[in-house]
Amino acid sequence: MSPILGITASQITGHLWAPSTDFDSIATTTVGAGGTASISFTSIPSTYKHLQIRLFARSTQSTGTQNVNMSLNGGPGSTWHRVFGNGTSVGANAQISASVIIGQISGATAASGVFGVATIDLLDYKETTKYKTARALFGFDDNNGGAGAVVQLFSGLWQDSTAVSSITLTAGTGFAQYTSAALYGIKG
Amino acid sequence: MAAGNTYTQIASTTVGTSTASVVFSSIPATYTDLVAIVTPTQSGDLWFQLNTDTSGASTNYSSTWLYGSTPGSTRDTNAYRIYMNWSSNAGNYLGIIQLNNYSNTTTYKTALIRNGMNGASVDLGVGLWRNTAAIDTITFKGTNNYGVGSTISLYGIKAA
Repeated sequence: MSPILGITASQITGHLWAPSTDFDSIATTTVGAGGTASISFTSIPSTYKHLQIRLFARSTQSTGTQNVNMSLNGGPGSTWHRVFGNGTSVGANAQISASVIIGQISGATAASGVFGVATIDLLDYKETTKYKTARALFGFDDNNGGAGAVVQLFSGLWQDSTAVSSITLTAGTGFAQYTSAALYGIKG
Repeated sequence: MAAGNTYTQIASTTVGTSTASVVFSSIPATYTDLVAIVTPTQSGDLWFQLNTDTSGASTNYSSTWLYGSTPGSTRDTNAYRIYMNWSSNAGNYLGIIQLNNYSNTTTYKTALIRNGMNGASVDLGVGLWRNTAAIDTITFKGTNNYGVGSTISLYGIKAA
C-alpha cells in the first residue's frame, strides 16, 4: 500500500486535519501480515492541546518481553523512568542520556494471542516553551507462562521545546501482525 | 473530513437496590476500545468476567499486579475472574479499566486496571482473558453486593 502523506504504516485511516470533537481520532494503524519495523504518526496537526496514543501490540522480536522506544520529531529523547511489578517483585529504574523506553510489550516467544496494552499521554505537545514529557501505562499478562508479564508506569523526557509533529514507536525487530496503534487529539 | 463522536458513553448504571452483579451486555462491536469507570459504595474485593465465561470453575483468567502503600507485586493465574483491586478495599474505590481492541476475534483480551481506594492504597493491574472472542458482555461482581449509589459507566472509544 502506498503511504498516505503524513503517515506511514501498513493500513492507515484517519480523520485528518479537521478536529470537531474534544477527543478526536487523528489516525489509526493496524499491522498486517509480516509485521512492520516501526509505527509512525507524522504531520501531526497543531490544533489540539494534548495527544494520546492507545496501543495494542506485540513485537516480532524473539523474546518474551520487548521494550518499546519512542521518538519525537526523530529525536530519541534523553531520560526515562519506570516503576513496575512483574508478579513477584516490584522495582523502579531509570536511564539518563539514553533513548526513551516508553513501555514494554509481549514478544514473539510469548504465548500466541498475548498482546500488550498501553495508553501514552503527551501533554502540551505543541508548546514551544517547554520540554516534552510523556507518561505511559503499559501491561501484558501471560498467565505466568514465562514471557515476563509486567504492569508498569513510564515517563520519558525529550529536552527539546520544538512542537511535536511526528511520533515514532519501535519495538526491537518490529511490531507483529494485529498490532494496532491509534493517535488521538484532545482539545483544551 | 470531520470526525464523529470518538469517546462515547455506551451505558451507565447507578445501583438503586443492592445487587450481586452489574452486567453490561450486547456491547456493540463498533468501537475500538472500551473504558469502564467503577465507583462502588461497598467494600471488599471487586472483579469482572467477560461474555458467558462467568463460571466459578473457569480458569481462563489471570492478572499481574503492582500495589501499594507497602509496595509489592503479585499475580493471579488460572483464575475465574480478573480482579479490580488487589489491596484491601475498605471503601471509596475508584477504578478505571481499559480494554483495547476488545472486539477483535484473533487475539486474547487484555485489560489495564488502575485504581485508588480507602485504605491508602493504589493498584495497577493487567488482566488476561485467554479467549479470542469479541467481548460483548462484562459482568461486574464482588465479595459483597454492589451497594445503593454504586455507579459503573462504560465508554467506547472509536478510532478512525
